[in-house]
Amino acid sequence: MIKLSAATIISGLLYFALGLFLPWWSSFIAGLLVGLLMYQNYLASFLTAFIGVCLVACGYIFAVSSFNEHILAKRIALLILKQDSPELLIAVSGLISAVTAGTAAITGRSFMLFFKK
Amino acid sequence: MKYLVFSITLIINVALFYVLGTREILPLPLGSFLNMQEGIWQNAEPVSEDFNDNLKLKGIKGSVNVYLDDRLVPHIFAEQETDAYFVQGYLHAKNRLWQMEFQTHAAAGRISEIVGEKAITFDRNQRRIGMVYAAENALAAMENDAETKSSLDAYTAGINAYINSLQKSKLPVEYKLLGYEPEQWSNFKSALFTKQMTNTLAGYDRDFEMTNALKLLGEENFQILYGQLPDSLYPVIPNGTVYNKPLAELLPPETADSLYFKRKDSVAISEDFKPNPENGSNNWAVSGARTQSGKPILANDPHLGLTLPSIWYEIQIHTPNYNAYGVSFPGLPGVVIGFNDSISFGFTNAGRDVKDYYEIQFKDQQKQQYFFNNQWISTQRRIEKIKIKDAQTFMDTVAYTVFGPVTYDQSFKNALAENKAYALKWVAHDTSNILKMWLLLNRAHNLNDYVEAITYFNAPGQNMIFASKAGDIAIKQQATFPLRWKDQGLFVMPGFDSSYMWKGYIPMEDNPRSFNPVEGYVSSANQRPADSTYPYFIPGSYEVYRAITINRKLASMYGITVDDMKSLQNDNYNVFAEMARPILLNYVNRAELDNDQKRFVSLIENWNLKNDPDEMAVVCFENWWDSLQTTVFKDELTDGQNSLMLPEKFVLLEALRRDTAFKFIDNIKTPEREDLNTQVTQALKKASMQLRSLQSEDKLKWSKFKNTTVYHLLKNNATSFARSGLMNGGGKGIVNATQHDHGPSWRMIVEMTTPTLAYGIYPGGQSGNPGSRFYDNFIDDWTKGQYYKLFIMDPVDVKAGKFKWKMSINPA
Repeated sequence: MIKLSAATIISGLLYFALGLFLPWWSSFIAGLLVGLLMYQNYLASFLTAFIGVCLVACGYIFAVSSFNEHILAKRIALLILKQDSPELLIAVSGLISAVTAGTAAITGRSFMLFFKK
Repeated sequence: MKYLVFSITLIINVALFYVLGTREILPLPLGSFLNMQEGIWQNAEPVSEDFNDNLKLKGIKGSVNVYLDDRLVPHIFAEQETDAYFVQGYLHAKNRLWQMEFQTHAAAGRISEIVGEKAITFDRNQRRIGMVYAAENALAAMENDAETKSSLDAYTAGINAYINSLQKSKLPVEYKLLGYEPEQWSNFKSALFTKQMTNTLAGYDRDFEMTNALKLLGEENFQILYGQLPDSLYPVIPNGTVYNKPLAELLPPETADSLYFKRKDSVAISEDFKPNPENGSNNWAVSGARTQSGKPILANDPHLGLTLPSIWYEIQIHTPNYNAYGVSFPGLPGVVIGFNDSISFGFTNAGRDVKDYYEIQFKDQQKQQYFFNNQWISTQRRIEKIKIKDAQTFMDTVAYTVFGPVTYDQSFKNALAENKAYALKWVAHDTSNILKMWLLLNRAHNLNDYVEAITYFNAPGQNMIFASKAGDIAIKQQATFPLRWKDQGLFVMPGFDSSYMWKGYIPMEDNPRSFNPVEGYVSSANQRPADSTYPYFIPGSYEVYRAITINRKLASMYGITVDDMKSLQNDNYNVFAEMARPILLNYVNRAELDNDQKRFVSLIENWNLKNDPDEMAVVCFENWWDSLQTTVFKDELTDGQNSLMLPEKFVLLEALRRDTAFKFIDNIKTPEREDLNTQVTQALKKASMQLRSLQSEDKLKWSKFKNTTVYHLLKNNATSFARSGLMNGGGKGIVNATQHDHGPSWRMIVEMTTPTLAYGIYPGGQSGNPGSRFYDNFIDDWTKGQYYKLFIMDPVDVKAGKFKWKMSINPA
């Protein structure tokens, strides 16, 4: 459990830190690194990276959008999702990072198995 | 197993990377677009944003302080004028960068670079009417004047200081939506902006339609339907004014009768991208003799396309030499409509025709020579390189003639037979430094300064209004207007004979003007500037009815206050309906009407003639009259595929007021002879189908029918960035000229007391960011007809801390 929590927290922190100087695909790198460095099974690799990144992304975006009183989120949600739902836009934004981090974590994990005897 | 998992997830990762990182599969690269650190979330400005700032910028000479009030209006306090323009450029870019670049890309015919092939016809059109060529000429003139150049250089440097400081993550939302990045600003872009404005205000033209109408109708009928002098004309300069005679009378060429007035063929050109002929304005100034304060009051409301971000940006510029306040164009330095401590100034569009087409004959399809004055003359060929997103650059060869660029030839847009083509002569192409006018007006002290300043303005023609604390009021229609013989330029002209060229320009001193008239007021509302005694031929696209309402009201007003002026700017009275309603009601055969139709008639009968938001009679009246226009004219004005235009609205009204047996009433396509009763009744029956449908959709109220909308510049591609369903009254021909997406883009009233009292509002907000609370925060108040008291900040206010935020800007 401690390992799962640690992997989740590290995924989130890595995603945030890498995003400060890398483009949007920092979520792939964060997930990949967690998969490479944290020894877990596939499901745990996916879930820890997914949840860690999802929490950070959704939490950050929700805070930013709340301070904005969702002015922009409403307009963008209507524009691209055809829904008057800032919440849905926030969820979609977070999920994109989370899914990419999760799948990258499995890739990292399976890559490490190449070197395991 | 591990290889399989690795391979599958790797493929999934690559696929996700591709799908989320490009526009190939989805319309947006959602990975970056929705990313928390580089996507749109970085544009979500906190509603409690702290705009205080301390900047050190290269290019600024001294210290500048900018005080922002609670509406985010900047009050720039600079020791040097060029520093003020530097900071104005910086602020324009900070708040409106995407808009500025998009508008100048549009001016230059560069939209295909952003949106791809779908804009190629638009871009070619812009190049082929010579927008870039015109901007090059303007830039040369602006940079030839030391003061204008230094002002522009500073303004450009300020914009670039902001662009260079801009992180990719903070790019305006529209760049992220469309997938490109800003380039450096230049003085040339400001020149392009002036030409975009000129095209908007002096680019409307109907030579092709009029040529076809003349061919179809013959000269006599043409004059009846397309005459330029309404009976109800209330010109800018009052009827009865005595004008100087021109030095010589201009006569048409000897060949005009056969080659011009009786040409043998129609013109198969249909022009796209015509500017809206409703681009216009109201302005008036009343002298102290008519006001409660004893000081003049000036009012102006320019009617333009209603857009977000707004075309206007409110600003105060305070330097040791002047203190100007008003609205500016993001793209140009200075205040464009406003006032300073001594004077106030505003504009309405002149609407004069300053754009003519000449039919030329190329020697062959190479477009290298054309026939002119009995010989083959070489064209100058300009290769326009139009870059297209995701496609090869399009090369367009545009031939330039003695008149100007050849807009329409075999390669664009219509295949014209026998190497015929149409060249454009347009005042927008002339060399001029119109920016100089605003730089001088911003620091003008009196009537003489105003008179001198406006001489620098050549296009687009404007009715320039003025009021001063010294008590003067003035209006002058100013620009360079072509000198024409009667009817010259109404139709496409022969381009092989120099005798059809413009004969120069009307002397500026003969432009219509009125300084301190005995009436105690001056005004304009895009109507013809002078009556028939004006000794020059001045065709144009003129409004008739707003001027009548304004002049009626002003003539009867004394002890005028600012509130009276606010009421007048928001006046919804429909003077056209006042004149037209009796015709409809007197000639409709009521016995033939069903219950719905009777109800529509009853609504109109009981209408107070005001286009108020909840009024249903307006919708009934408008639909009925439009239906009558079509019923009366459509039978005569049908000419296969050639472009034609219905006559102006006043034509039918005035014809019927003069003679109810107007010759066009009969439908020539039927064996019967229809009279006015028949046609008015038929028109109502046709209109009632639409009215019933509107009624069932609950859209019979004027504001619901009109659906006033302030569109984003990307129009239907960004409807969620727009504001629609606004409950405005007003309309075409109404002083409150609010139409569906067009209308009062800035309402300003200035009372020339000491201190100056000024009020204003525009339908937008200071920020161009759809993620800012300052993006559209003025719109609701604008819809209600309310105004903001303009805070003209002085050094005492600075000391007293009467500001919300402060930006200190110093040299790096």
